[in-house]
Amino acid sequence: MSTRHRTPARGGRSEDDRLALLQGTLDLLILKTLDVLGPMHGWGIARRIEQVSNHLLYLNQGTIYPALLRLEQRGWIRASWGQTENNRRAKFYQLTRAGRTRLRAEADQWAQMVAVVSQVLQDS
Amino acid sequence: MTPLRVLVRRLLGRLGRRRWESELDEELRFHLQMEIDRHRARGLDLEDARQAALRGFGGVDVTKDAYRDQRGLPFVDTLIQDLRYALRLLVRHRAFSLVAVVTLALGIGANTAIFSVVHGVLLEPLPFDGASRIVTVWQDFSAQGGPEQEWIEIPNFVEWRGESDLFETMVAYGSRAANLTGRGDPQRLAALAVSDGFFRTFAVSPAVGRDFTAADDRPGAAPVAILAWGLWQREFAGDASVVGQSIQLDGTPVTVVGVAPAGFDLPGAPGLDLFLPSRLDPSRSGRGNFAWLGLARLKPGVTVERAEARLDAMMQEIGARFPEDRGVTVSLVPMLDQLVAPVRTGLWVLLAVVGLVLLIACANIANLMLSRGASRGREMAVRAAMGAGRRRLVRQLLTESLVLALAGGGLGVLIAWWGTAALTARIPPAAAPRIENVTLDGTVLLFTLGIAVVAGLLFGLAPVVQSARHDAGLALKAGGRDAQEAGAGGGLRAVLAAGQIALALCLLIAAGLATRSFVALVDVDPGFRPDGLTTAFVSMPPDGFQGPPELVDFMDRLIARVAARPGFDSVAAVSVLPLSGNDSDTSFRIEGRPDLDVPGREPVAWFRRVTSGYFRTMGLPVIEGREFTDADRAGAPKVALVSEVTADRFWPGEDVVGKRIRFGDDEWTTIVGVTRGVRHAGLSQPPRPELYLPFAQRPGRQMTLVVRSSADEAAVTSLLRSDLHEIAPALPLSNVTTMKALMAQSVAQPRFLMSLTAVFGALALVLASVGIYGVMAYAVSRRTTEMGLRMALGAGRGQVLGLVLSQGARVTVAGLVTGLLVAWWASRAMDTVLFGVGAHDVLTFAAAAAALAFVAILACAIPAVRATRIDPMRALRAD
Repeated sequence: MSTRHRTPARGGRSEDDRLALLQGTLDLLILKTLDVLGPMHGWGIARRIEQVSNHLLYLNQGTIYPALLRLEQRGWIRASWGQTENNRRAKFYQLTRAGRTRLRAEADQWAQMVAVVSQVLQDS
Repeated sequence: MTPLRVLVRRLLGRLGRRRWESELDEELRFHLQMEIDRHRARGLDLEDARQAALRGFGGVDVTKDAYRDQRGLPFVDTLIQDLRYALRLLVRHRAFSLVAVVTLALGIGANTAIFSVVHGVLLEPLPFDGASRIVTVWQDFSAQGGPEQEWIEIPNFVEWRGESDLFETMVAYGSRAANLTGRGDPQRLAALAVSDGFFRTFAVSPAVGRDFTAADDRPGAAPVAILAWGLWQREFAGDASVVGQSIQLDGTPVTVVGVAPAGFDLPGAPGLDLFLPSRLDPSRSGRGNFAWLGLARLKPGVTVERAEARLDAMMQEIGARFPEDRGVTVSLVPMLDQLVAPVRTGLWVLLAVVGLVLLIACANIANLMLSRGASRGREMAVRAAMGAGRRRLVRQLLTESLVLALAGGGLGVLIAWWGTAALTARIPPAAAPRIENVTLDGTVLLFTLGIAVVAGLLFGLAPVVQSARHDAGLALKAGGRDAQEAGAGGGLRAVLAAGQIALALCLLIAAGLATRSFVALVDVDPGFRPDGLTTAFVSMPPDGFQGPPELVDFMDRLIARVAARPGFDSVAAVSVLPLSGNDSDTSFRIEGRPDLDVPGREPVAWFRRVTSGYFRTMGLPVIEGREFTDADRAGAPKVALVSEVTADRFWPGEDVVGKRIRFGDDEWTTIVGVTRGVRHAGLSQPPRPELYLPFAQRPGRQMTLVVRSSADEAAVTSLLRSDLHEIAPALPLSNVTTMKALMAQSVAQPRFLMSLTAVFGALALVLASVGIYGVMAYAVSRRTTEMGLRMALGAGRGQVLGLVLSQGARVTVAGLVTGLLVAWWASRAMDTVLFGVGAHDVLTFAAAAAALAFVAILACAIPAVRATRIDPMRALRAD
């Protein structure tokens, strides 16, 4: 899987101590968010990630749009236009069956990765 | 995963761009609006809320860019961008592009045309199933000092044929001629006598009717024939009912049993009319009789070496029983190799020659690109400074080169299309087997694409190398022109120019050798006077000409009648015409030399039956003794003439006239004269031992009439035809030609090689001189200031001239020395196609080098003279 994140021209450094997003984790976060929320628009997804992470993650909200497109191209989510609660037109994304499978696989992988990295860090 | 689906979606992503762009806009606008609303709800005013929203978003345009990249294929996008840019650039520099494309088109076109010939003639397999297993069969007498490829003896053939675990089939065949009568004008047909299994050797079977059977092939079997498709269409209108009918061949009824499939030809012998069973009779075609050619189809998996080893072992055993076959081996040569052997070297030489032309063209274009690099250097530096990656810049440069190369390739195909047609039309089929097989097919076009890409990369590398040496900062700081000084283009250009000179020298030497070879060939004395000779073949079948008296009587009457025509200087007949491609030899015994009467050691000479006026008619001088007279007839003492070569070989240092020889158990034949030698087998072949016998004493059934006349060929032919018709209405006249035409045919191949190498050599000379001119003109333009300064300080024009010329001379000499070394090493490959001149002919090497040096110095002189006209003040002020 290729992940291409363009570093925004302006900044890339946060004024505070928020964590920069690890490469490749954005996809996982989006998939998980959609799994929890059901169909949701881009802004909703971004807000949710910020809220859940307690604003400790530094997220350029814009980056989720190429990521959403990437996930859609792979067939893991699908998009359709719909209405928000306050009657605005927005593009809603939802997990596909393949996306759910993918989420499980990536989540497992992530857990393993975290375990391994922590292990290594403790030992040394 | 699903890379294919992703690829398809991304490819599709390039479509409907307007729609998804507007959807993206809407999506992002929605997002920002939501953020603004959120920030306002926290109490910010509108402007602050917007700022905060944008900050959190992290750059709308960047997002869109990333989105677009994800949407389409970035690689394709960049490529399209590069292509667009390249095209724009090429259109802007029209003159440069035109010169480059035309030069390339010439180079690529020439390569494509020659490769199409190489491919069609040398590389493409013969059009039969399992063609690689079809081999020609020869007896190799080289151990006895004889020919490597001798025709086969039937008794040996019969033994080899039994090796059925080696061969699917083994057949003997020989060309025949037959007069077809009873259907309007008599016609002379080209036939092939074939033993059982001939068609199976080529894995074909008759289109109509049946194949020959083993029974058809037995001596004394009822005569049958298989028609070739062409004759069937032409003479029988493709009527299938002809199978089973009988036709009159040489006055004998022959039953047609089948029709060969359309397009079937014996490779190398197109235009056959019909096939006849060989009806081989070992008791009549015995040992020492080399009258048949051999062909075999190897079993799958059997190699030539294995089959040869087995047959050689058999020959060893045969040699123990028959001393004349002692030491003889069998040689099996794949039919394609055998067929193309005469042209293989020549064609590879030509391909190498056009390859060199293309290399020179590439060097020229590389040079052009380098001089353009003066302005490009700055452009590249600017682009690099603006963040374009090195790889991207290289890709851009190569894209430009490839666009040029492909344009050149496309135009080249057109040139090749014309060139191939011109080539194939100009090569007589006799000079190049399988020439009809030459087309611009897929393989050839693939080759063209390949060389276009390679050429593009080759000359595209020059600017890349140059740009690699550029220091972007330096280039930017300096002015446009001095940016060049910082680069190292000059040295690279000099190397390219020297390389061009070296390659061009190789080509000139090849052209020179081919030319000298051809001149030597046409200058050679064939041994007779060819101009004014018209020839025509006539065959006298047993039906109507039963025995020698009838044959002699007929020939006497025909010659007397033709000779009586005013305007015909003389007329005669011969059994095998010089340069006709036919010949036959015979062994004989020499009186007083019983030591030679040993099988395998007998004297052998090529013999011709001739009528009494032959030597006079041909202009073939009799240098000793006398020629034949009308008194040398049946009943009179048997006589013969020999050629000088024969006399020297068998009676060295003796007076030959009066010596006696004997054929088999015939009576002694007295040699009454000696003739000059004739280059019978081709102008490049030295005369072989020849023996002339009077037709009146030893008549034959196949004779060629030779007429010396100042009238033109057509007039001579029609008179000959009407004379023949009056005496023998059933006999057709065939193979009408002139001795001049046969001579031309015999040198057609060397002439072809010469004219093509000469054309390409000239092209190379022009390209190379343009190349060195470009380098020198460029060098002078760069040194304008320096020259101005030197002249202002008192240097004379001569000194400035010398300065420039010496620089040109250095490049030229380097190129010439390299070229001479390479040519010396490579020219050996031409050895087999040269005649009368060595591959290391010093005169050719020297002349080519001198010519090239002259042109190169001339090319330097123009910019050098221009340099002397520099106005010192202007030059100094220019910077």
